[in-house]
Amino acid sequence: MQADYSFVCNLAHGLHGRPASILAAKAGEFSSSILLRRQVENPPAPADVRSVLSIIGLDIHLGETCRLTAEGTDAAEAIAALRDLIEHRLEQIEAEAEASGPRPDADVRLPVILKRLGVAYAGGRAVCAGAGMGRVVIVGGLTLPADAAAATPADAGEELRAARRAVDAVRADLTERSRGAGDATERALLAAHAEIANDPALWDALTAAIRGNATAPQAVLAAAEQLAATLRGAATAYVRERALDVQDIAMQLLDRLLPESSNATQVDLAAESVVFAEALTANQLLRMDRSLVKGLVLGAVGPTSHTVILARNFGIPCIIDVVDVAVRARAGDTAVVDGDGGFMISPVPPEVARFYERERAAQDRRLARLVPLACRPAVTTDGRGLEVATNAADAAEIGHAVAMGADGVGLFRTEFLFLDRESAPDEGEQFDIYAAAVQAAAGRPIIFRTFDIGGDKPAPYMRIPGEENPFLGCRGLRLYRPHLGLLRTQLRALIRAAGRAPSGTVKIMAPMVAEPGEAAWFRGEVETVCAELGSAGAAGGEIPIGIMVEVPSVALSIDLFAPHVDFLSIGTNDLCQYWMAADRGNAGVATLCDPHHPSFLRVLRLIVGEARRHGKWIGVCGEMGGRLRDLPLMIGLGVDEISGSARQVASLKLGVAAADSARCRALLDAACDSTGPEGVEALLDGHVWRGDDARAQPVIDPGCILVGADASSKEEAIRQAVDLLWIAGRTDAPRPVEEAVWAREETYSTGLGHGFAVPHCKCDAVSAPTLAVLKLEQPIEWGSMDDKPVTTVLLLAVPASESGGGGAAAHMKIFATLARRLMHEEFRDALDSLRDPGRDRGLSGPAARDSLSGEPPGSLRAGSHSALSVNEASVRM
Amino acid sequence: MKIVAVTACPTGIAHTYMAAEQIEKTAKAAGHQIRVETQGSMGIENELTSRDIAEADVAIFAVDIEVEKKERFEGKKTVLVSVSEAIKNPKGVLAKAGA
Repeated sequence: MQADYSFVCNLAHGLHGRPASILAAKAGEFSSSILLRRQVENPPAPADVRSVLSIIGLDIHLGETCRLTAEGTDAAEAIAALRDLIEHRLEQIEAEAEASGPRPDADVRLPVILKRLGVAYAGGRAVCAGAGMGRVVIVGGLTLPADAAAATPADAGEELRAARRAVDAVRADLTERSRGAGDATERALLAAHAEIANDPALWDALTAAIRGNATAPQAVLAAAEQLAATLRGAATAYVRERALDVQDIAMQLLDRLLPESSNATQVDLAAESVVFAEALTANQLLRMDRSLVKGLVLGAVGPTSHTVILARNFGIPCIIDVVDVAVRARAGDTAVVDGDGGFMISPVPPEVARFYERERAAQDRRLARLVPLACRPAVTTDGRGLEVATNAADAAEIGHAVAMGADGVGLFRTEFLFLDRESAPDEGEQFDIYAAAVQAAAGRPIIFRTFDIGGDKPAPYMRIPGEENPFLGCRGLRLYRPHLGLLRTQLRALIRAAGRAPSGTVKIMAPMVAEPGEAAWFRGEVETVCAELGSAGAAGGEIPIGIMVEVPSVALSIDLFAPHVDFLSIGTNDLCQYWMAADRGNAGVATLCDPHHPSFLRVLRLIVGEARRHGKWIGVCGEMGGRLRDLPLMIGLGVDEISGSARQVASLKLGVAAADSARCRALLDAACDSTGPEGVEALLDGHVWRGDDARAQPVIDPGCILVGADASSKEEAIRQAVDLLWIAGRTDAPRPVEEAVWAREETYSTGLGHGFAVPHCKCDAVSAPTLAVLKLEQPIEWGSMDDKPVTTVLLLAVPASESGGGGAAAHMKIFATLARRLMHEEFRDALDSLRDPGRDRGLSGPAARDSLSGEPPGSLRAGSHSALSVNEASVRM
Repeated sequence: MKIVAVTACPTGIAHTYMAAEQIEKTAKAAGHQIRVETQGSMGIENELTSRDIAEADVAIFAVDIEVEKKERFEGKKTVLVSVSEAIKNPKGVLAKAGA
């Protein structure tokens, strides 16, 4: 008997996922052979409807015509049943599956250029800023040991039998485990896996690979990759999960085929890499060649996990909470991870690579310009100094941060030495690491925090009992008395290392102190070890002793701690979560655990005020201390030091140099009087905290002129113009500026004809009104009023909060004058003549600069011989 | 003839002033008397007096947003054009105004 049925796919995401698996299950109830065909030109081979993977492999999209044919004794019944499903049930099922799926892409911020290119990406949560590109390395993914990968098959028949035995064993094992499972979900999962192990598509792929001269293990890898490739690109989470299932089955097959190999934790990188892992331990990261780790794409590791903290310190761009990490990319492909936008792209199309290469080049130029400035002490416009230090966990990081202008190390975390290992590091091992850190700091102050370990961190040799609530349990200093030997060993290593540094520069700090007695005890311990070491120690040098301020009880009793400590350092992350009683790792209470709550700012103000009153040095080593946006609050608090990641040091120091400390104080007081975080955010949006000089920066910075710019599209030209502001330090965040320019561009094109475009924006991400000039090598389409391409781009950017006048009024006047003059041909001709064929590409040379604005901005106003001014006479009629 | 005009664009940084310059330049070249008020990010500049308005034959609004203090022009013959039209084709705009 034969029967058939044609239909048009009415499923938004095509015939994938749950609908496919429901069809397959139904088809399995009949004895007839049932095939599904796509009715297209050059149709792919028909799918066996009993195989989910086979159906999905057809890749049937919305609106496509398909045909089911059945042959066998129950062919008519089979077609009737499938027809009923297709016509009445599948749409509903798909809608339900979609509604329940995770939405990891909700927070993705795609750069304008990529958005306009329409590239495919996978979203996650941005936790470490920056972008990095490299080859995909999947940790915990499907790999073969080197010898198995290189092996050659003895005999296809033997390999096939080995594969068959493995498949049967895995299926039998899964079926048995499924029957024995007590939990319904687990039972269903194991049964589904048994189905996949039994899927004809898997077996077909295995046999094809073996016939193509692969060993059974190599065939497993090839088959898994082939099946996963189809599933990976699917729009629905459901289908992607099937790819994960395929991988799971493949791993079990490999376990059968290669019982002697085991998963190694050591990851060797051969080239610049983007590391993908569902979970990656801090230790695994530390053991990688860090210079080759260009990005991390992780699953559910937690934004405050040690892996993430380390990645941030190392400046490795990282996103987390990526769904189905292991099947999102193929090992060896290129990938880019964007830790600002919260997404990854793999493989990387050429235009995307070009975007990131340019962004990186701009970043390098920016640092080349900023770092020499950042290597000087940071002083506010009204003369207040602020040390800008870095947080670190090893000497290499310190060396990097010092090169970037760091004044010292505000927090050296030592606990990483103690975690993920079978026994504690001995004194010699610790000494080597601390001495190397001291040497890298080259005489700059360095605060070592003694090990901060708790019940939630793996240090098996400490045998810390499980606790109901580890964040309120036996952690930090609270563990020192029961583990006094560990503490003393560490102190000996630290004090000996201090002997290698100028007196007083090595400082020791205790974590998780709650009451003055603990601080007194800790001090006693340090002094005892110092005395024991005698001349072998710090050679009589002074070692300041301090505590973290992270428990609210300390905040209200600084006076009681003062006799026992030399300095204080505020750990804003923990202090905030304890203050607000809101777990910082819990997304459900994230809005509570926000350091911009006025209540929290008040406690910070109180702490710093008390520290001042008692003459104690005080720093901030929590995340707030390293965030540029919070800089006005930090200056307003009047702390002695802030500490963040190396990559932020230069920006922070320049921020300090632009700030007026009295205005920062006024801003802090206003923030403390706000009714909620929204009010604080609004205050931080503006620029009122900057000094007059900083706000009255020249409209034209010589660095903001680029003659011979190489841009192939309007998108690239705008980004290049924005990058000029970034390189010149007029903005710390090019992307929001770019977005604002495009938002304006969307209303109508700023191409005003005659080859000129004047893109512009009001955006608080720019620090002062600025004009950037781009003379393009190749004319580009801009949608101009006269439909002619553009050769000169004049970007006008104004801080939104100042565009109404005030300090910026004079600048706005310059922009208005410029806009008016552009309506005159003589002026446009003068600007056009700026093209200097004798000059190389890149930043304009002195000649080009002189002709536009050799002198500071004033030149636009005051009569000077700049092109803009010279023409003042000629355009006045 | 005597013309008054108001220009205003959404950001008030560039096009407000370009349109003002175009209209003013073109009108003067054609021998008209003209005063142009700009409503940009610096607020109202070259504000038109009630006398300017009263004496004018026509008012040109080259705007993409609402004109501020519009009541001043009540009863006046007005021509409404977009900012880009004023920049692109100022002669056409003046022609619409009967100038």
